[in-house]
Amino acid sequence: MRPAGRAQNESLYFNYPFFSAPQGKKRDHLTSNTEVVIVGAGPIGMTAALALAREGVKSVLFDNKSTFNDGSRAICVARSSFYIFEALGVSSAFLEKSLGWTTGHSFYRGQKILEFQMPDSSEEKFRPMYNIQQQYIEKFLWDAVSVNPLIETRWQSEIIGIKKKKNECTLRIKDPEEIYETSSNWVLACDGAHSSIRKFLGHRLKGENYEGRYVIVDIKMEHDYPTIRRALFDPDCRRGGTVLIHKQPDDIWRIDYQLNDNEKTQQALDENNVRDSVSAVLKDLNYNGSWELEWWSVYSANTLALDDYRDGKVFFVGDSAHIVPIFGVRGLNNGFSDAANIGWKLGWVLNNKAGKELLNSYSPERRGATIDVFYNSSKSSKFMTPSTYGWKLMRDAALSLALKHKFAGELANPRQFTPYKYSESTAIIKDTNENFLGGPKPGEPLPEIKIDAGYLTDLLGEGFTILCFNKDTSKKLDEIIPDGISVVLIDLLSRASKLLNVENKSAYIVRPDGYIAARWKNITPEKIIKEFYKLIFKKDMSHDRK
Amino acid sequence: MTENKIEIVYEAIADKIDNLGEEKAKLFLAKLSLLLANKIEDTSFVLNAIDDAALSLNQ
Ligand SMILES: Cc1cc2nc3c(=O)[nH]c(=O)nc-3n(C[C@H](O)[C@H](O)[C@H](O)COP(=O)(O)OP(=O)(O)OC[C@H]3O[C@@H](n4cnc5c(N)ncnc54)[C@H](O)[C@@H]3O)c2cc1C
Repeated sequence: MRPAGRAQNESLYFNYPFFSAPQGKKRDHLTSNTEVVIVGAGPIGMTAALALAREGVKSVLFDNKSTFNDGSRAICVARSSFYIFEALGVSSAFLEKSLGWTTGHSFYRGQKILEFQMPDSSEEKFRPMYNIQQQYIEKFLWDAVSVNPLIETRWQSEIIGIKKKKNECTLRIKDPEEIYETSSNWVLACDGAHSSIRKFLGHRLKGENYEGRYVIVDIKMEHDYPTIRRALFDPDCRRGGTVLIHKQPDDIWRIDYQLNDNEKTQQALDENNVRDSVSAVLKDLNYNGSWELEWWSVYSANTLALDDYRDGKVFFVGDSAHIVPIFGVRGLNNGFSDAANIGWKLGWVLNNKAGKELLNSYSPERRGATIDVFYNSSKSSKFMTPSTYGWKLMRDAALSLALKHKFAGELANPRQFTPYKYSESTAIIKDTNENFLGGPKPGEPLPEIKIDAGYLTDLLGEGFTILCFNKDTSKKLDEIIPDGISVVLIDLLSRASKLLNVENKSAYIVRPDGYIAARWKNITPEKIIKEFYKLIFKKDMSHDRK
Repeated sequence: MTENKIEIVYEAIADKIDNLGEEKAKLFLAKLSLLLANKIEDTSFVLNAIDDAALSLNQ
């Protein structure tokens, strides 16, 4: 919502573009069959389109709106998402605009009880978290989508029906001029929390609804606090409640405040009440300067997900598949990982570089990540918004102790930063008796470390990458590897090799999404290639050699 | 702890609860539990103590 007198898209700092529906010549082929349809040009749909395009796969992207999502919504973008942006060639715009941060401060009744640091060091290429408004996220993705020849976007075009057939789906589309039908071999439902594809196909999100409701407000003010996440527990301005404060670019500040049980949502959203609540928070922050109201909304802490993110040739990606509470800052970040995950897998299958079975790993990997978020964020939620007597008593005890005792303050640490591991996935090969004494396991992301020319992850190719540690293996691999794999030779004496816990004849295979697919302490080049075919569900070396 | 030592603690807690009053006693006891538990390395000991302390309260 915006203040009285301002239109829905009248922002203090952002110009919303206007997109028209397909016109003129662009309407000639509206009903032609397409390989992949993506429903929803939100952040996740655009990321999925770019991920497919990276594999050379064409898609048609539909959105029922004429501009970006309204309001700044999700503002915390995690390190893992920056790796995805980088792979899609859009990271520089994000790095230029966003505000990186590593530190959080928690206060109890005005006194600081905890300073937490998210894992970061000079070995890391990206900061653990960046703040940036969702409009910018969508704009930067759109800047890449709109010039990509493999992506056709149809704005103001709503999917109003979908029928599954044996080998394809028929979609009904309504745009300002007509209603038409088109068929598509694959559909990515990126149509958000209220997904209509989900409804048309008769699926429901399942899980718990947490009681906690937050009003999220953006204001513009010149306030000189650094980019540090502040959490105020039981502050003067909201006795019994919790307030979160984040800095965003363009002098915009996010203030999230929890509603208590007696506050009606409708009333709380009234402009005057929002202004009063914000004033009270600013008073607690000792900010006496002027400020302007930009946008506000309400968000409740849900944990809901589909049982299966796939229904035949339809994949659910992003909010259409899962809704998570805000404290975990994982809603959007998990969606980016969903999009990157289905993007490379579908790309490899459509290019006939991998067997169709690879697609079966999408739902377990990504749903697993959601369940992990539920576990962590329901822990945070129970601390931030305890809904039972016992949890509230212990929370208050911890906060009260934390004024003097550090250990108790640690209980307020949101610990939301470890990426999910695909340790049980069918798209990795688990360690056998490999005697690794350390290093990252299959299913974990390749860790970062500084190397001569930059960072370890800079060495990764576009497809799979084999890391090896002696010249002979590397030379032999170069002769026998199939298309789509790069071979990287790493000096056995380097710090990177130490981190990976390798020997002369060791090897790692890294997936296109940066996750470790397999590793061996001692293996021959021929055996690596054989194992690689298992990973991509191909029986033999029948597909094209380089 | 010898008989005498636990008696000292027993009395100190009783006095503190009286000083704070009934309303604050619960929060005080919760804080005290956390503070003491933090000093004990053996988590299973603490978890057992939690169960022990609840015995015969549920009837
Ligand atoms: C008011 C609000 C506040 C939020 N605040 C936060 C926050 O503070 N922190 C946080 O982490 N997250 C927040 N979120 C969540 C975050 O915005 C989402 O996680 C993110 O937008 C998900 O992206 P998505 O692309 O999956 O879905 P969306 O961004 O919802 O995009 C879906 C797109 O599909 C389009 N669409 C839907 N149905 C159809 C159809 N039938 N045909 C064609 N197009 C269709 C929609 O118009 C939309 O553009 C908030 C969300 C909302 C709504």
